[in-house]
Amino acid sequence: MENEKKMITLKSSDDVTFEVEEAVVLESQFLSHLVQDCPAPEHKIKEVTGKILSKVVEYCEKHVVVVVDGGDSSSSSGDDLKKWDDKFIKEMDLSTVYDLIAAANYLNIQALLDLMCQRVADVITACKDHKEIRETLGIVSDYTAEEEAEVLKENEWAFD
Amino acid sequence: MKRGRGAIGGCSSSELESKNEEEEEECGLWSLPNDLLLDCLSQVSRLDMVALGMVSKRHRHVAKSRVIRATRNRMGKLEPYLYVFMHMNPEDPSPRWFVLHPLQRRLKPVHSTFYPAPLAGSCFVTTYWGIYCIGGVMNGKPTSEVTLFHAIDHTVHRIVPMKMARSGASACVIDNKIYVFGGCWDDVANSSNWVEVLDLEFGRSWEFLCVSTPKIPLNIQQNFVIDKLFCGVDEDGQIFYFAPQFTPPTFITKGIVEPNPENRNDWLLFEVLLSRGICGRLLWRWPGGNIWRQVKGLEELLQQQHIIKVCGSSMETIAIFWEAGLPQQEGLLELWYADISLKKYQVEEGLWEIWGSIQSSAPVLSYSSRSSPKLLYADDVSC
Repeated sequence: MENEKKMITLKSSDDVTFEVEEAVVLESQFLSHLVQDCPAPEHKIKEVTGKILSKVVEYCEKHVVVVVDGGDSSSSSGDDLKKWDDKFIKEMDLSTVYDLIAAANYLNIQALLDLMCQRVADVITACKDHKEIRETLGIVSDYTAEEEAEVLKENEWAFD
Repeated sequence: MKRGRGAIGGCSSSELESKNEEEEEECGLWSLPNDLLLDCLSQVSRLDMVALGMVSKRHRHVAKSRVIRATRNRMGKLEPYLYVFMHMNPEDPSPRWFVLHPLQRRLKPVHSTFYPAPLAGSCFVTTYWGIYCIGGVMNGKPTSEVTLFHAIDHTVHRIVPMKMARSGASACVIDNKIYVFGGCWDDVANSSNWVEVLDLEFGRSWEFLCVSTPKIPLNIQQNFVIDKLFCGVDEDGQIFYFAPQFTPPTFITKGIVEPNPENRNDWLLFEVLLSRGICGRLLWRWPGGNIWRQVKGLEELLQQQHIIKVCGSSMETIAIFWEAGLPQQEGLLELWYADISLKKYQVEEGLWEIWGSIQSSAPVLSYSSRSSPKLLYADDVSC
């Protein structure tokens, strides 16, 4: 007979609530300590908005390691998780990625943090040159025309 | 958490619409705390890092910073880049640096600050930051000049000169200190000035290292360092050992003589000791031995070509260079490069063979056959 799962409510800074299994919360080291130190049924995460917390919960629910009867641990297979992660990050705009990086860092979820940092790197890598990086990341150049020409000359070896 | 931020996710696109572009940037990548920003940017390749540095002054500052290099190093993201120092033709006043482009597989001249470098007689050491060019002949005389070619930003920096002018010296790095041996002209060498040392971390000037030695060689022809022990061979084939951490610093010999020191160039420790032998053959021996054997598996290549340089290429491979004519274009030569992996096999008790396997090869530079360039140094730097 399946044990009754302990549920915990997380409330975002803008008062959006998420009811999740305790195992999901344990994916975050910050929340693990919070739940252990303060066994209240509801925890307010003042630093994270509902939009971002929903993504964090979605990620942790997928990645949670489930302890089944007999004490064995199981989770989605590595390949399935990889495919799911790829889809998860591709659907996300950069603004959300930055917010998720900050949230993963705050909540201490290393795998999510690594995934999001890699996403930023992949976006940069996919750009064909510095102009496309500017366009993609929304950066305005502060080089003068002369400085830009000098920088181009300096880096001719890489792109000529 | 990041200064000036509300809750994470508080910088929504709707809020950005009314802000100017500078503020918008602060809500993007730069809104992240520094350590997270570094974690993101450190994942990209060196070529992408160069492109990133061209985006804006702020990005350039980060892309060239020591901290991002250290972060990339810690994350195992540094990549080996092969640098080559060549004097292209007699009319050129100075040799220049080239870098092997990792995708194009061509040697590209780097646009570095010009600093006159000796055409001959310099010795070189490769460190974490780049390649030091030490001494050499300038205007017919040995020089005490030392320069550092910085591999990240491709700049040449003048380093504090040695106390002695040296040409044909030998150098190594042990415990972040550069040791330079010999190369003193005019018979002025003695046990108190034959060795100079520069502490790369704390040293502001070169210091003489007074050493006890059975003889003072004119030159150390080749050397390698194994477990912080310097091993070098002089012009007579005498092998010297030197461990600077011992007090007093002492050179010792064990009576081992290198039979043909003039025909064993480009010593490279790569588990075994490698060298470029007569007719451009690739040879190997055990670091503690003196019998050289030919690296097998490269016979087909070396029947037609003579290796002119052997150097490290990565943790897994070595690089060899040779020169070849272009069949269809008279008067043009090409410098070829091959990346070679090595495997060791035990043939029978006590008998080993080293087999080389070409991982890739390509012509990396073309030039006129009249220019007769000289390849002075080549080595890989993690960038």
